[in-house]
Amino acid sequence: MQILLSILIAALVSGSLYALVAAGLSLVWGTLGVFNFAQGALLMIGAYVAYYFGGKALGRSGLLFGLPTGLIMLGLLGVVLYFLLVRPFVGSPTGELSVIIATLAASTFLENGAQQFFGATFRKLPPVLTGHLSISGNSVDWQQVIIIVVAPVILLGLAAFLKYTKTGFAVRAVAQNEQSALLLGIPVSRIYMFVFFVASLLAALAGILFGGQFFVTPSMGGDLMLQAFIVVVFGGLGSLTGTVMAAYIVGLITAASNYYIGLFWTPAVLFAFLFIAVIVRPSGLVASNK
Amino acid sequence: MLTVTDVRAGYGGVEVLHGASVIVPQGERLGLFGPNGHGKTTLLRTISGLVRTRGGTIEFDGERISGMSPREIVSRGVIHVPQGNTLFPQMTVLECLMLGAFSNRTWAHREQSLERVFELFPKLKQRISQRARSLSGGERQMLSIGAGLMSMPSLLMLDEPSLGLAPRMIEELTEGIVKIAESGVTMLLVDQNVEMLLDCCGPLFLLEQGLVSLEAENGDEFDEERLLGRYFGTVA
Repeated sequence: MQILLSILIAALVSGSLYALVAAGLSLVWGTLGVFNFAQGALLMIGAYVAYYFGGKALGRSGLLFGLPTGLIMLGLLGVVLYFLLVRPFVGSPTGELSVIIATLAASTFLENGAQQFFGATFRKLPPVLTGHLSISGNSVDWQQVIIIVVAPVILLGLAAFLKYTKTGFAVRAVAQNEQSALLLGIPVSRIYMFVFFVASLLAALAGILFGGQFFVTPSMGGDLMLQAFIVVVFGGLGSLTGTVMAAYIVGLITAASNYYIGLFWTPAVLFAFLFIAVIVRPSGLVASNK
Repeated sequence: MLTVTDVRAGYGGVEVLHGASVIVPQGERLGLFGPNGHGKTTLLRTISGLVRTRGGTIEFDGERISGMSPREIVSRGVIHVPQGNTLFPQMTVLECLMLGAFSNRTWAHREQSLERVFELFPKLKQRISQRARSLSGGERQMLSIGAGLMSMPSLLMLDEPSLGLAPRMIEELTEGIVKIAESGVTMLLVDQNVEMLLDCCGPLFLLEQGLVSLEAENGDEFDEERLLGRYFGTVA
């Protein structure tokens, strides 16, 4: 019972983090039809920004400044990346591939840049809340509770935004038919920019929460990016509901595999699972609009 | 109102329009027809800013619109309803129509515009909360035109509205199109269905090998025969 409970908590924590990262990937894919491989690097930069703008010097109260600074700066960095690496290629016949290569390059650049600037030392961001509570003999950090609660709230907020606001309305329209959106006077390139802003912000949030629970390192984005990639493919590219569902399923598999099979086997288990999932349901859990 | 002068345009290494010129006067219903692959759709895409001009100019109400973004062109009331358009498959009829009124200029008038669209195409009102992908071909065409009307056009350009539709449906659509034109919207209608164009339009133009090659006044028998003869390859 205790073991099951701790696996469940680990599953919810990883599932929530995957959901945040993967939702950004899925939103970008659904709207622009490109895959942003720099999402993991953005997450890492977000954690470092929060660390150096408050977290390091002031500890937990420093997060009051570090967290919003990290979010906003990363949202803006996402916009910069959009203009540098995505916009020149979108719409060209080989655009999809060019964007993959360009964002992969950016990811390598940012990771090595971080290594150079910040060093490879493990850093730790302060948690949003310290201490822990105990549930039937299991000790659960408040930070874990925060992660488990914040991710769904943010993602529900995102879903509501897409459904009920005029901008969200336009995002959905651009995702379903870009040409018609253009011909109806919807500002398509501004919508693209906005989507990149939101996706990077989600990545930064995941990075800051992750850094408070685990560690901040230049390569922290790589693993999360891999899991998030599995999540979006399994969930059905471009579908937000499918992505979030898949995130928690992949979280559960990761936690169970970590415990029963061993940490080093988990990627193999996840990819085996992905192979089977893709054979059984090629369009993913929830097929998207395209 | 719309003046297209010697426009050249194309895709990649291929030039499709080799200096097409056409004038659409205010309040006119102009029909444009021609064989497949000779540039009809490209001409509309160039006017609406989806394709850049490589030469020549396009003016609307005395202002040069070639080189502007589609959004700027839409905001001047030049609306292009593309060919075989599925619009937004996952959205309801009402949502699709509302997106037509997206720009600030038209958003304020969306309720009146909606009423006008439902008056023209009552079928859409019955389908108001149905998803666009579940509509029949004719209803989809009505929805596309309806969304175009929500953008409050002064010039409405329709690309092949009759494509793939049953004759009965084409009649219904023709009625709607004539009504729109009678309400004061200038129209540029592109179709291969010459009969439909004869029912809807004033002057007809033939677009052939990237050039506007012939012009005929609807109702003028001699001109019409010459035009059709040229198009169908018979000597009238």
